[in-house]
Amino acid sequence: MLGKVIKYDFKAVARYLIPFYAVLLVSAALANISRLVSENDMLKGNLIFEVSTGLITAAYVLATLLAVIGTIVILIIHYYKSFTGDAAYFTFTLPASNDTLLWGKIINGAIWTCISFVILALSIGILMVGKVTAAQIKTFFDLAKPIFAEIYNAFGSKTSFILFVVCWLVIVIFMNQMEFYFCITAGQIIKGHRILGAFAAYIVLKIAQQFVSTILTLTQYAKIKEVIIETTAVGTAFSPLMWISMAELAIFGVLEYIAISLLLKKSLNIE
Amino acid sequence: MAVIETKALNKKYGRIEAVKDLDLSLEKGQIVGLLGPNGSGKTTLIKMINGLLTPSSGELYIKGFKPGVETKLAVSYLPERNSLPEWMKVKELIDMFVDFYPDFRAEKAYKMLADLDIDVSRKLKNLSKGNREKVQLILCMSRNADVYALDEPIGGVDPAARDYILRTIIQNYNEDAVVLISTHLIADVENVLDRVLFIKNGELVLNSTVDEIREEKGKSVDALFREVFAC
Repeated sequence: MLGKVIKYDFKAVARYLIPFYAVLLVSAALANISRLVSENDMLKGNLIFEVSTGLITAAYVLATLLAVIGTIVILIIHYYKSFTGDAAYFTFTLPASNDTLLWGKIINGAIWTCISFVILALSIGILMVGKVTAAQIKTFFDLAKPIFAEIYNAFGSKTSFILFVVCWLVIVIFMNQMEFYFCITAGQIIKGHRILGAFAAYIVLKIAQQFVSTILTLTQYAKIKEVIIETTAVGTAFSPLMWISMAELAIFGVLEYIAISLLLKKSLNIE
Repeated sequence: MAVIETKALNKKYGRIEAVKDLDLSLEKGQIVGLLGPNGSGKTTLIKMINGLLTPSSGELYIKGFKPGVETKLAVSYLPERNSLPEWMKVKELIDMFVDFYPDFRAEKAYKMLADLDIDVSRKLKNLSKGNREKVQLILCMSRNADVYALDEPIGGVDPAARDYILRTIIQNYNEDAVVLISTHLIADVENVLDRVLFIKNGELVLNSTVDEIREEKGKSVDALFREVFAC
């Protein structure tokens, strides 16, 4: 049943996001073409051409924002409509548990977040075609090596850093949407002012996150101070904080999931 | 065993009691009219049966199960508003129902749509309001469900469409099922009903077969309704 729920959630979101991504890729291609053409001496100093190139570059930047912000906005709107609007009559009469419906939204969101990352990387790749050579990429990585060595050192080892990045990506991909889903669901408790309720839930959640974050940072304060004073390895001091921040994000995500699940179970009221 | 059973079922919206201490037991094989004026609690009861509202207290069972996955497989619901994804083509909606409901009979849906000359390749949003409602009804009645919960199926439609809707319900429901029709348009549905439930201010004030009303009270359901709900 989860597969079917994801299938139809995916389709519902695809009709908005595929055009966004198409615009991004096309604008990246146009930006690259205009850059390649601009290398022609004949066109140098041509005002119309330079303005067009500027506009195309601006369009690429806007398309990037549209794709990145649009992905999360569309996912939030889809959740809002499916779980609270007229479509909720259909959603909640499907023969699936509320948890299955919720996981459908979460996994669908994770899939589209991954797709948006890939499209973004692809658009950067398109932008770079003909501009960056393999030698330049190699030079870049050679230059970056000491920086990475410093980072690996800060995290204890290369494996530890990779583990951190993988965990962080997984958590961000899955949990990024959760706080919005939580706020929308919590907002439903306040009848007649549901959107206001969602905003109120968001503010309360952010205050709680900030409070916990501050407490956790303070627990590490002594250690950070000691490391900074005694050594110059600032990264070594901050890496535990990054792990703690990630754990906090994950814990809040899990708590938000539990809260949504309980709210749907105990007080689902599609009016 | 009763298909729908409630015990002291209550639903409150703040201080307002939409359904009060409802005790009900509906056996299979009957068309039941859930009758009452606007705001009497009909839709609230239907939504609780569909798991869309959480009861404030009391018990509700569909085929012995509390509202959940099992009951959603058993209940075919026609809400009073369009809840289907309007961006989908009618054919895609049928495919979706086939995917989700094992009791959905696609060939039956296609036949009914063909009878109405509804183009299945058109998106729902591109159909007229009347045809959108008919598609929703056809999808609902193409299921071989144990309960058909129809919320105001003839509200806001012209008399010809009412006839079509009632004919569709009668010709297509599973005869071992309970068909629960919520309406305040009594005269239009009276002839198709086996049993009526009168709901007034959330309370069940009458639970009787249509034959009993006619024989014992010597009145039509419509006449009795006007008497009970006289302003």
